[in-house]
Amino acid sequence: MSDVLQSRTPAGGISFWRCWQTFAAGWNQFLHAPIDARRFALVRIGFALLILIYMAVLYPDLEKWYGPAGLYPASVDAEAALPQQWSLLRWSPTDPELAGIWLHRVFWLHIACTLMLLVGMATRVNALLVFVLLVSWQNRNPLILDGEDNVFRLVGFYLMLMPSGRAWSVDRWLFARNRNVCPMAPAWSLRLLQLQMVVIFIAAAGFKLGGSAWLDGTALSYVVRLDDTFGRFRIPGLLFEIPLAVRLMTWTVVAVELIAPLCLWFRETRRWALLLIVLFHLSNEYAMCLFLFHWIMLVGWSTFLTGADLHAFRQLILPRPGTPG
Amino acid sequence: MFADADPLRFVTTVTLMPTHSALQNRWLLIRRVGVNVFVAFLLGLMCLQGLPLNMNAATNSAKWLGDWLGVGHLGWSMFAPFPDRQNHRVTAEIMDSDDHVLQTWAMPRWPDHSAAERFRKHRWAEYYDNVWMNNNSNCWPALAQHIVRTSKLPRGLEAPPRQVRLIAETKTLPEPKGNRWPKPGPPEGYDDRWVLSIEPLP
Repeated sequence: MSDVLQSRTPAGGISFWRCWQTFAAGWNQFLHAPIDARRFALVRIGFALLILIYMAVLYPDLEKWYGPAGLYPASVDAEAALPQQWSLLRWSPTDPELAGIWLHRVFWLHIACTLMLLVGMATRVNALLVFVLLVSWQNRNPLILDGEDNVFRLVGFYLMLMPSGRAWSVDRWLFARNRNVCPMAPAWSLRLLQLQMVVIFIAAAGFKLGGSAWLDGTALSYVVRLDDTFGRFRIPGLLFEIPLAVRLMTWTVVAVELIAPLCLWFRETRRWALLLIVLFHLSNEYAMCLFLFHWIMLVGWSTFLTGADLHAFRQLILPRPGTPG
Repeated sequence: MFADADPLRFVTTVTLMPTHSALQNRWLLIRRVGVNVFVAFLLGLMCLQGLPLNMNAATNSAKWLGDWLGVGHLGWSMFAPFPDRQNHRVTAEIMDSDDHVLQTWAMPRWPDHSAAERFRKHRWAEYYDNVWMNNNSNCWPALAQHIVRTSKLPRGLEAPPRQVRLIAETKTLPEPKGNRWPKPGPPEGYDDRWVLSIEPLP
């Protein structure tokens, strides 16, 4: 508000130049202010751990999913793939036996790069390799993908841009001149991931508001009867038989997706909004089988944790004698 | 100051360092401008690809660019605008002639599996969720061969399997009505069944 008032000329009109200056200052402050580099490291560690689980689930069926004679054969891939959907796996030999060996080598290369990313060794290079290999697996067989794979790729992409090796890493241990100073780095790459997370939630709410089942409150009644996504653990069945309860739950989903991402940007509401988002994902994780979707989303939302939050967590887990809390 | 910003120093403009040479300051400025342009480009891509904007040409162009960068996707419609209103399964009949079925096969019934098993078999669930659609019909021959390979056919068959009849079955979820809505969990049985294809075996 004060920025807008400052943008007024002495005659009472609004000066374009002053508005632009205010905007530019805000933009610079938002994107280029240095922030605690442990926030980048948190994303790196969370992402790398999830990639290890992601790959472990693929491993038993590697040749079935990606082999030239598997369930998505090379001939089908050649016919369906668009030129921009690149994949290193297309360089695989055509002979099924050789292709199998090649696939396993690429797989273990991916695991090695992910482990190095996890510990922060040659962090930027490994972030790039992990991303390129992840995209390669995904583009080679789109038949086994769903929305969470997109989130994985996006987090991997923004992680490539982050200086995520500046904290909690082997790189820092080897190369930092002064290891007692809290490392800082410009915020812009983290801001991009934050904005991406907000776009995901706002877009999901926007799409839902365009459907009658979400507006009349019946949507969750359908979702809980789907055999491929629902029924992970037992839920109170009676709750879903009461129309008012189902309607309230359906509308709550839309409200959380719409309101929580906005509340994250205000100091007064940030922690409550984060807590709400975490509860939202964990309750969905309890009831639904969506593989790693909720966990990769939580890695994305972890970008909203500040240095002070990390310090508070540390105090909670490892309280230092003489410090309160 | 932004809600999650650390209470430290802020750089609101490119700080020209008196200790740096003019060349170094120029480089800092160029780098800052480059980052700003790149961020603006990615923000555009993020919004055009993700948000329900109803601007098909722009969204498709963003998707094309996103694909080159490895981040292309088709939006965040998660169970929207309408959640699926149908359960389905794929079954098959392994045959040695046009009218003789050697063995039947069905994809796993996921609600019967434990949470851990469903987690481990997640990719299979996605595969069966997509493969039955007509636009994936070019994957049906490979599916037919997979079914024969993984089925335990009886020993001492008079004739080897010659073809596989792939079948889709669907169950439409009834609309919730009245004072009591349907219980959670998939309803039993399937109310529609049709042959997807008859795939000859090599």
